[in-house]
Amino acid sequence: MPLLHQVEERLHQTWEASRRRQYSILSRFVAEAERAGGVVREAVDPQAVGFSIAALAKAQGITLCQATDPDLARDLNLEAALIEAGISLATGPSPDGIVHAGMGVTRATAGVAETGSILVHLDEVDARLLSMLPEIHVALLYLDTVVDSLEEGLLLTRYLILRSSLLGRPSYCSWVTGPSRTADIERVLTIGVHGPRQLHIFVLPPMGKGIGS
Amino acid sequence: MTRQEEFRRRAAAALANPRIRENLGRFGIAYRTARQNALAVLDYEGERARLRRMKEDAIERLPELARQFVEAARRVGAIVYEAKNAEEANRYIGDLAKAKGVELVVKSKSMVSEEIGLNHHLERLGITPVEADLGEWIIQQAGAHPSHSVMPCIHMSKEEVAGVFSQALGREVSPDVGLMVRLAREELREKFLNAGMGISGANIGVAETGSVIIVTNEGNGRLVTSLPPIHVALLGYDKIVPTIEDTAAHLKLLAKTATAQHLTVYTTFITGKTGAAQVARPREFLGPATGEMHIVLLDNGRWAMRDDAEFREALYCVRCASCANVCPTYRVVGGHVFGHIYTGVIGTVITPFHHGWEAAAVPQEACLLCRACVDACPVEIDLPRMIVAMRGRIVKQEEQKKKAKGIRRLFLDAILPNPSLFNLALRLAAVMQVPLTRGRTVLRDLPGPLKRLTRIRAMPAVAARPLRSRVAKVLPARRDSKQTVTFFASCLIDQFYPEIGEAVIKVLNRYGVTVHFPKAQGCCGLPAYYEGHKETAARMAKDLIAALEPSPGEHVVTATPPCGITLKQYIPKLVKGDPRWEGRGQALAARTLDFSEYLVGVLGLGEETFGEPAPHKIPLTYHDSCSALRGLRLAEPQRRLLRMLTRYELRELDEIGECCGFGGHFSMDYPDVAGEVLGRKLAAIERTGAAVVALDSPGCLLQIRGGLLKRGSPVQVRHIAELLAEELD
Repeated sequence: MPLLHQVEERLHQTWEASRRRQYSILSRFVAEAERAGGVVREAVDPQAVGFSIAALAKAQGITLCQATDPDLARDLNLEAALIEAGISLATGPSPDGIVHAGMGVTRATAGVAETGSILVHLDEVDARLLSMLPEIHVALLYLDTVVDSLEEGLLLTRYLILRSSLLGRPSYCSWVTGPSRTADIERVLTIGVHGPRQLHIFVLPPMGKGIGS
Repeated sequence: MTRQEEFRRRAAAALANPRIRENLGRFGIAYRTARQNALAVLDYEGERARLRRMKEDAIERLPELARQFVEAARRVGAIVYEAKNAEEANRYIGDLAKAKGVELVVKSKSMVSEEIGLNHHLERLGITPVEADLGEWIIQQAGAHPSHSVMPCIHMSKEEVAGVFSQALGREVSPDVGLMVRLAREELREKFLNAGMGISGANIGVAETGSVIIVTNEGNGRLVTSLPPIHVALLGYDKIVPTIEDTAAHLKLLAKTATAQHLTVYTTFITGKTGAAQVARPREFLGPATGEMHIVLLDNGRWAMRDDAEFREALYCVRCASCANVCPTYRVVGGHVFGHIYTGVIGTVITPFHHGWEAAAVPQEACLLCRACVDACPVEIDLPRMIVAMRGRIVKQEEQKKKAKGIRRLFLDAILPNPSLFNLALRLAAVMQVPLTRGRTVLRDLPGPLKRLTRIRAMPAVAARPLRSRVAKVLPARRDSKQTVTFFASCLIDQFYPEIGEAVIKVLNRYGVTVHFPKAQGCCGLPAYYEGHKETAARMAKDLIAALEPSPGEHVVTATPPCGITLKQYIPKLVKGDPRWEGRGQALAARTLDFSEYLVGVLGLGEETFGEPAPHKIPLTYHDSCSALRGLRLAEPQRRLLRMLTRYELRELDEIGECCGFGGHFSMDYPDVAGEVLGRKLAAIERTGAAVVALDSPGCLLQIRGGLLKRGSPVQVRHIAELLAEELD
């Protein structure tokens, strides 16, 4: 697959170059994501993130929180934190939960600093719905997956989609830039329409695995 | 009914609803600032050139890219159906829904589905389509059509929207926007969960991967394409681009120009269908876990548009609606008048290909040809050029059907092209007007069939003696003459404002320029060209070339920018391909300069003032004519000349570049619409507190001076040439 290899090679070069400036890229990402209406927090210890999420859920009166998979919940120590806060946790495919969860926790595949977007690339429908149906979407983003420009973000998106597409596999990837919004009635900006009303992004320390892996 | 009469009827209905122009007027002002701020972060010209190149390439390679797209989409399991027309697309989707037992369909925004009338078709089959985009849902509940492609119900007030909500939900809903949005979320959530099919449009199709890209803010697009077991994506061939990386400029500019965002909230890349949601939906809809994706690729006139050299560039459109947002007449009448199913300027231009020429003939009348849309278009589509091309074809069709109006044709095709006949007609008018003018130079109210001309503004009387009778053939310079110019007067200066012509000659003579005035010159042909009488315009182009060619002036100077555009841009196009005239047309274009451009660019004026500034300067504002600003790209020379004046200080308008609503025949045919546009201009003038309005185009002068007179305003309106001549006294 020479085409895919070429795209991968360019992506790798971009990633190498970005790593040298990852903190300046991060500060751009934070500014842009917040300008779009998202809330970004930097976390030093993933195990502490569960408590931040639980505190957030409690403050918003959430009673059911759902994460895409048990691994994610474990990485963040989410279950213990939520139990302490008196909030239920569902993980993995829990069809009935998805429509009732007030908060959905997912991973983000990457971030784009120029636009403050996160890439939510979840092919499993039910996992993906956790970034769509609940009022609050919490996304976990690794610092070293944030690219600088929209063009670099598109290069990554092309790589991810092409990789599946060449194998005949469907995929579903969204760039999410802030919470859902409308201005359809008298142009009054209103946050939270069919998608989440709040978007919280936790930036975790570098994963060190390379982008798109 | 002629198309002019029908347009008047439709416009009157829109004007009867002040809500439309209040909402659109307010929006237009807010949009301008928000858009500027959003675009400030990038190199607008660079990005739009990149987007233009990408779209040009994609449409050029469309046959190959479309094949690639279909193959790639099939590789990931999508079922692709290529529909030739609306009927085929509707039949495919309707039959599919029937075969799968679908009763409820949720839709995210798809203008193509409006184009083909899909909802109507589904309803006839007993299937319920529900629009999920908030604006589209409101429009659907109200039983109406979108009036704007990005904000479908921009013409409605929140009180009207609350009425729609109350009716749809069967209970009283107060006009609180936040509340209505919450209610819509609840109401539509049920629909998302219960629908057996989701139908989406697509902003882009990607040939390399078979992906469709959907851009939405509300999140409905992702739900429509994830929750129901079947997803149907409906898109035109024109949306296909080579790769995901090619979409950079498209995504940036679409968000910034459509909604002044850096990026739309959700940019979703859907490549095949990954399965069906297993959420708590009624069990009968649970079905198998594998979902289906169908892609309906629609032609419906797009391939014909691609093959039509005059209209191909309409396929580059990214549907940002900028052309509507900045359009002075759209902002008065809205998309139900300026548009058919597709709204605004681009919507009207593509209408003939999707819905036939009949459907486009009336809406296209709304165009003033002010060119504001060209600058605003992120793909730099030359919409006014296509409007003129449309008019040409519509006029031809009307002639064949004998629908053309006799007097208009007589004027454009017989009187205007004949300088002596035209002069004679106006001399006759000058005599006949005497009982009305009684010696005055303005007519405040004309009687009878001419009443329309003075509805919104006073009209100038026809000059007792035209410029051609007042000046000699050669007007020598005051001092040793090195420079010579040929003055092209224009009909307005010749017959209505000879004093402007005299001022031009005086200024030129004073600066050592000998002015030649060839008496054979007539009209440049612009009225015929803009109204679609292209053959007449071509004939007039040749007459004018022949009239000006022997005159010895090194440059041809005009003080009427719209005619300047004709000489510099339209005449070369009109005679192109005619070996006897092509080179001569180009020579005339190369020789022609606007008055301000000549004074500043050739004579080097504008470096210093005429003398000591007066102790108390009079506030003056400047109105840019659309023709100079956007047609000839001249804004600075005029200001440099104004800064030479000792008695005036320049105060800029707060809406620089807005049209005054003259538009040649437009303000004569549609004074009520033109009057609204003029009203905005006059209000902007009043806000500056200026005592004098300077301008560079006699058409704008007619409109603005006439409008101020009609209002009884003491503000004076002067052509730059007159202000300069005054300083030289």
